[in-house]
Amino acid sequence: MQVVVCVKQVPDAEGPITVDTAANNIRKGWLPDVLNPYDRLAVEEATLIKEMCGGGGVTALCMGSPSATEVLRTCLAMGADRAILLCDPALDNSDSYATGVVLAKAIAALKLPYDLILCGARAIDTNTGLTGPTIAQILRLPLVTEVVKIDVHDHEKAIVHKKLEAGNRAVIETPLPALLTVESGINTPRYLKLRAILAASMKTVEQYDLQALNLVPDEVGLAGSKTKVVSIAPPKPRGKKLFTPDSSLSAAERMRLIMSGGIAQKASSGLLEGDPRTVASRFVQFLKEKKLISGPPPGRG
Amino acid sequence: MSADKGILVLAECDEGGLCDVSLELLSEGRRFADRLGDELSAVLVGRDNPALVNRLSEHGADKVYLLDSPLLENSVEFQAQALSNLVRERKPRILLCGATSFGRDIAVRLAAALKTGLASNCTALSLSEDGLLVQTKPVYRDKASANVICPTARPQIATVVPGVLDVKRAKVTRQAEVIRVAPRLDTSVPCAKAVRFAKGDPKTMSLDEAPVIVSGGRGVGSRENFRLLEKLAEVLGGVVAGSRMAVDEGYIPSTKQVGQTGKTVTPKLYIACGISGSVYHTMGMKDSKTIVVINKDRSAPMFNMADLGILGDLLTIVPAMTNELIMISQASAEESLRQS
Repeated sequence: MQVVVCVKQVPDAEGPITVDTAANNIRKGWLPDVLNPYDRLAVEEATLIKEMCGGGGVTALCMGSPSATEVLRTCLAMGADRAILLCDPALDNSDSYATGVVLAKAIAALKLPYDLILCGARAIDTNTGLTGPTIAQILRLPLVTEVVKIDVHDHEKAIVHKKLEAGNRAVIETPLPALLTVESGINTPRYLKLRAILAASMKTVEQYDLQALNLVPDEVGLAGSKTKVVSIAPPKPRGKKLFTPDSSLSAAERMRLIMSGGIAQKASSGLLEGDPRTVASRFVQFLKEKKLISGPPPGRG
Repeated sequence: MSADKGILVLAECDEGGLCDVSLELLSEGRRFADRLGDELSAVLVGRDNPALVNRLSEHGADKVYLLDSPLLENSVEFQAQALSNLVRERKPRILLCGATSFGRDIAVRLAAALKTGLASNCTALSLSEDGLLVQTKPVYRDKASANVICPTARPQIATVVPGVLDVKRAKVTRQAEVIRVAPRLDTSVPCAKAVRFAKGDPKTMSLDEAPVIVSGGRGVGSRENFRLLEKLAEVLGGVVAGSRMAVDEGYIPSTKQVGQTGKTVTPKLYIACGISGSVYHTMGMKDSKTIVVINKDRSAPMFNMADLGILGDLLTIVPAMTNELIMISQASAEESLRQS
């Protein structure tokens, strides 16, 4: 099995993020850059598939700045056989769509062999999830998004589980080659041993620029992007309805509610108390009103 | 590009009929359509149902497209193909989808196929002075929020998180014009097909996916008492979780901890039993859709978050709730037996 994994270098969002509203960006410089967490799952899965199939190769492909060689070395340490960086000043500021175009054309131009292409379901910095689907569209590959399980059968087809709501799964069969985007829960990425990290640091990361990829400047970077960030801000707290205490309550009770702080009291009817059976039936009534459970079907007539 | 007109909403259904998020999108779409002097349309995939059309009309749709073909049944690829053909033909300037697994899947496919931009998981939408859709979405793991536009490509596609927009009935009642479309599909391309649907098992489900969570704190008192919570979770098809206190006391494993140092969860229903409500816990569950709180202590801060607050001893109240739920499920099972 030949697997191509597309990866991205992102600021480590586990750390504190500060927003630079003037530059429409987050304040870079002191946040470490890391392999996008969803892409880490994709690299792990690619390595597992290679091991399971008893052969083949994993190619890690990344579009980014020269510093992205670091995340490609992480991929090599995790088990990738080949690492490729697409790096050119003209590629800066590409959005998800433009990035997909660049990666797809690079896969074609560099004639990378693949039975499967894996991408993370989204990158944590832009949170769009369009790069993988764009690659699939351009290379005319079957696509399954948000996959949490992959079983490959004889280089010809794969049976995958797609994550749906409420823990549900769709079991999907796809011919190969195909493109899959992987979602959290698919695996637990391996812990990197020092020996693997050192070995990866000795390997080469191949690097290609725009010319080598037969790309023209106006289909990449800002010019090739479809979306534009106009402003960025720290997240606003979710809007909550203004709290006004129920006027039927006693003054002391209202006072206590007001003093209880900024969290709005949502229960309008006050607290429910009484004997357990009455409380329980009120609770069930509440669930029905909220459509959280269905009541008994309406009787005949 | 200026020829592109109209707003299109992808209408989504589940077992309970139209999804709330589709009505939310229609209400917002109506507002934009009125402001732009545009038409608002909805598109339904593979469902020809007059009741659905009526509801879409009530919420402001001028037109409803019904895409129908047996090929659409198990293939999101064909659905996306049919929708992208519809969009190419009708040229809406804005396309809105719910940020549900179906909506997200369709939206990325359409943006890729139509070579246009996409803003995912938006939490707010607005129109700029010049009529562009301004899409507000979380970035950097929700630690910042970005306003994104799609200046030239059309349509402007957004997926919107369910529950952030209001549902309003349209001011003017209208009957939407129904347009049936038999999509022409290219079946020559290799394509993925759904073969089976697997229902989530509450026993193995992870906390962040669970639709219902019954959570306990120090007030539960013992590991044995946690069984009561497990039973309630079982009848509700949910999962048991706990606060840091419950983990520290050894009532439940740390993998089931909700809060700042545990997991962040957003279930439809969160039942907090014997949890006082420290900020470390509430940080992890504050975005739950409906919150029920059971506590003996009237002054527990947890009550401030409750949609339903129950004052009393959880050791008697939780079993009573479980029994009540078992009774109605039995009643409905008997009822459906009698009907069949």
